[in-house]
Amino acid sequence: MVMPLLNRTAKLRMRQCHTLSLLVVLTLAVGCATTGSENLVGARGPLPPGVDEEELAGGAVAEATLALSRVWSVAGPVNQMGSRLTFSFWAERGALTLLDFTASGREGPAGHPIDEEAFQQELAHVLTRFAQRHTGQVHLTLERQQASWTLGYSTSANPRPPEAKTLPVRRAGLPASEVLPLAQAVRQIMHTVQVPAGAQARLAMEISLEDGRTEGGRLRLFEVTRPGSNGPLRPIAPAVLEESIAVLLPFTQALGERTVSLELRLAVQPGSRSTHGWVEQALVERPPAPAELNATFVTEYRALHEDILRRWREESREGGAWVARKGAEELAVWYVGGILTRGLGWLGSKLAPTVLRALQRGGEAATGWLRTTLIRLPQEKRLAFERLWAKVQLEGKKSLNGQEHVELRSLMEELERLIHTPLDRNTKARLRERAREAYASLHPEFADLLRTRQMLLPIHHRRPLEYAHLFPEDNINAAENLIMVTREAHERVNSLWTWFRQTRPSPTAQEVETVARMIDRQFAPWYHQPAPPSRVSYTLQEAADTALAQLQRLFPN
Amino acid sequence: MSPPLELPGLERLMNICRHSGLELETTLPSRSPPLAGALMEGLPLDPMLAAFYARFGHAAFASDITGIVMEPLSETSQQLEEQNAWWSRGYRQQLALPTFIFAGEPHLAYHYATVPTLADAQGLQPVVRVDVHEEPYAVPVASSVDRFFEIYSRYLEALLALPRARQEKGALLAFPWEIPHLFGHDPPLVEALRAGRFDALMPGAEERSWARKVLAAAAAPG
Repeated sequence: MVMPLLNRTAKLRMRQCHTLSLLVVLTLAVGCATTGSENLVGARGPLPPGVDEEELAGGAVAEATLALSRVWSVAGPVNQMGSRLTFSFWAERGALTLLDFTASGREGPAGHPIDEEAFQQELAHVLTRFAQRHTGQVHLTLERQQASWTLGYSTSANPRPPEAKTLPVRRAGLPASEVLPLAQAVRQIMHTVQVPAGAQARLAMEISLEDGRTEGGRLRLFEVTRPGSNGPLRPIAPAVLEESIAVLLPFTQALGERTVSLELRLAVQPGSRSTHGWVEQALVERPPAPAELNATFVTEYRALHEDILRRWREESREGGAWVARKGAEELAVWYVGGILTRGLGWLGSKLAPTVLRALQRGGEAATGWLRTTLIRLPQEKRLAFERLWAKVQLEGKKSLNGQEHVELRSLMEELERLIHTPLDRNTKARLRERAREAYASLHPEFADLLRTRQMLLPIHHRRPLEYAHLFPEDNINAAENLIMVTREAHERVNSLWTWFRQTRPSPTAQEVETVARMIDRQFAPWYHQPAPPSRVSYTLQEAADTALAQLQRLFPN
Repeated sequence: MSPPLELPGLERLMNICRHSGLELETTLPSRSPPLAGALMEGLPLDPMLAAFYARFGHAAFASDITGIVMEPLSETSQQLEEQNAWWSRGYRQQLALPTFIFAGEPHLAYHYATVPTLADAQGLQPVVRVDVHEEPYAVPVASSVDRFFEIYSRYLEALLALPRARQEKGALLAFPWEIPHLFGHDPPLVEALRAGRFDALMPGAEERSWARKVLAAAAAPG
């Protein structure tokens, strides 16, 4: 449904733009928007930890300022009466993500100059008063009159596209690191195109983006729609190049991997030495979601990636430090999602197939596995692993230099090797430390008990750590493998594993699982019990004797 | 009656916990704490342990990030005796030398024990860390109980100096495997290791490899 909310004509005179006065307008308007009683806000996800309303308000001002300047950079030079420009944004919590752009009616006669400052104030009012307070798609339509722009505003009910931001980014302008590669890609494509004198043509190009980075671009179509005079070929005019870049730039302020397609109308007027034209359309083409990951995990990953990227965009050094402080322990979802979405094709599938299979399960199975597996690396290698994958996610895989690329490959290979290798005593000690922490988190109901009876209630690995390498895709510290028992029960269970270890020095995974199940059957009443269970018809020693007899039958000497 | 032994290592450990904001929990001692040499489960109580239990009934050090917890012996708990009774019926018999457990790591099957048969001329017993998660084995960690407190305080300092120590806790640096260089602070331990006095307790290649690292670090200049 499209619902027009605003349609005003501004009779405006041309003046110089005064950024400071506009910023004041935006700040006041956003301030009203965040405290006003009007409720135009749709469904939103929870705020990430550490993000407050003040931060959001600051981000909203920056978003509106940026959107205003980008819209104006496209509309400003357009003076043909009857031109109609439409910018569609996804708006959420003050974040504005451009989704598509269309232009029509660009062939009309030139109009008179307009009052630029007054029009920008009008535009700022719309961006803050309405767009900032809405969750969903908003469409800004600008129609060029003789000496003014008519501004229209409407909304439509579409689901949030995957590239849309949900949190505003608080930064001024666009960094050169995002602008220059995009401009370079567009320039390279357009330099390959020349139009015969007197001819008309259509041009389509695509720009590959990942977050704010331009990963590449290519000419998709060039078609002469009306033949010319067989005269000389004319290059594309700088104004067309500039308009194309101006239209594309706001598309960089989105998330994830995507392609933006751009279509232009071109023509060489008689006597002109260059090709003129305009951008007719620009829109986002989205890749399918990774089929091997479940939707909930993808959603969680995207939200976390957005939060991290927002910090990076606002203050790259501080954002990077924040990521380093958290590490894979706290940001496991981000690392798992990043490896799967950005590393599969070029790094992981041949080097570390078991690692990838373990991660592809997504959710807690994957994040817990990664946390546990990274413990096996010495700290300096773990930090290097985190640093390099963070760099791939924030700056792109092309940002890795040759040495870093080799280092990351080597770390992936080492992880693959480690998960197939029996644990040493040092690593077992680390994993047991982590198991104790994990159990306490999993069982808050035992918090008091665990605090007061620290020495008497060991945390037992149902499948012992010494066999972890036989189950390389499983998290040895997963909830289902951790059991609290009394010292006495632990001793009995351990004695059974000792018997098995001596009887079967090199068991198979299946044999280990069989023994674990056999022990479960006898000792289950003692699992997660701080004291001997009262309603069991057999004693701990009888449980051990029965289990041993079963083991001896199954594994005769 | 001789004055109680001073325990500077214990003081150091408590100071590290206090200054670093780590958990430090102590309780009042028993009104009649056991004397040095008193027999428990057939083994003589180490003089430094006797000095400890004359001062505290129980203590836990840094158990919020990793930690060691002393077996309680107070008016309300006889856990030190009870646990040694349990120990003597099982695991003690599986080790080559008799051991007396007095501390452990929370919720793990790592125990700290004195070895009375390896006591020095003053009767001070060395401390070993016994791992009973699999077949029991031990690694020596101090030439005396107070040296053990001291080495553990140095371990905590090393752990806290690492990035993200507060989040990742003890999983970041495994005691004693990743700190062989710290054991040079205990020359009598290094000497005992060099003399092979603990060999019977550490049959495995990994323990022996670790002992060689301790000796190499102690021999290194500086």
